[in-house]
Amino acid sequence: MIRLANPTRFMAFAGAVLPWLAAAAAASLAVGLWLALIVAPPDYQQGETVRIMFLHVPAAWLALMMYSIMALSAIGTLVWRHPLADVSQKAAAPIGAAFTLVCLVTGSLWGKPMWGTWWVWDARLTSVLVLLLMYCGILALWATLEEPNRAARAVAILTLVGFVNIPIVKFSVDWWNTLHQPASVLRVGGPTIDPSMLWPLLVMAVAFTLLALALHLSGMRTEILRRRIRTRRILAAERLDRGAPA
Amino acid sequence: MSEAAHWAYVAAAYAAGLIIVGALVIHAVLDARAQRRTLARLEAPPPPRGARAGTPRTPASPTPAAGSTEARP
Repeated sequence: MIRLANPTRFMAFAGAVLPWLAAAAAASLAVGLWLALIVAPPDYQQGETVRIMFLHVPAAWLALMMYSIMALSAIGTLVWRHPLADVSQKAAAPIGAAFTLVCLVTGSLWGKPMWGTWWVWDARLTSVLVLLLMYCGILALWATLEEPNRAARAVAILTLVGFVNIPIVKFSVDWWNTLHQPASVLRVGGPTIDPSMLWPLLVMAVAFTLLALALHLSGMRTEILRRRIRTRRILAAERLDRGAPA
Repeated sequence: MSEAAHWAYVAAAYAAGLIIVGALVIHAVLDARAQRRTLARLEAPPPPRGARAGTPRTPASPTPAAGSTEARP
């Protein structure tokens, strides 16, 4: 792990791992979609609409996981000031934002036929919307500050402040009387879902996790390249200033 | 609610998921390719003095005039 903290070694490692990770993500996604759309039975109350759950729940887990990765990276930025921690923070933000958006949109499309409404200001729904706004704020902050080290420190502080929302999202259904149902998979006492629906859900969760990790590694590689380009351009500009050929 | 209506909501949800995640993947691939190309261009050795990138200079494409914004070697 410490060996990978060197950006050049990380680039070589990520370059070797990325194709396998992407292939595993594609294969597990294909199996997951087959299980979710064809094999899983309709629910006795929800009917076919239950199939939205196989997309909605893994997206919600990934939204929380990517923010947790950002929070760990933020600690790496503030405590050790490691450049790869900055890069990890920046690469995770758009992925987390996209999965949060998928979670909200699919939840809304499930809510209309099941609850009779697209949206309610329920504690779970509202805290996930706050999570999406946090992601948007973090992306905006990255775009605003041009100098990467300054931006990373500012984003790290914002990320750690925003982390208080993660337990609120997770436990909102236990702390408050919400329309959103309580946890039925990650709970004390084990899952309450029938195995015929649990397996498609778990396969889709594995597929989404592999996809998110592949996108994160790819995003980190791209960000390292972007910083190398920036450094080269700054050096070229300094040489021009001194009157030497670029 | 009819079964067709249930399937319509399912199709809309999966289409939305595909659009959002697909956009994320396409952006990641295109951004990675753009950065790799830019870095490769910056790392490439400069062309020899008097030569231009691309097709060799012909009498029909004279040397850029002084003050021209055309790229120089």
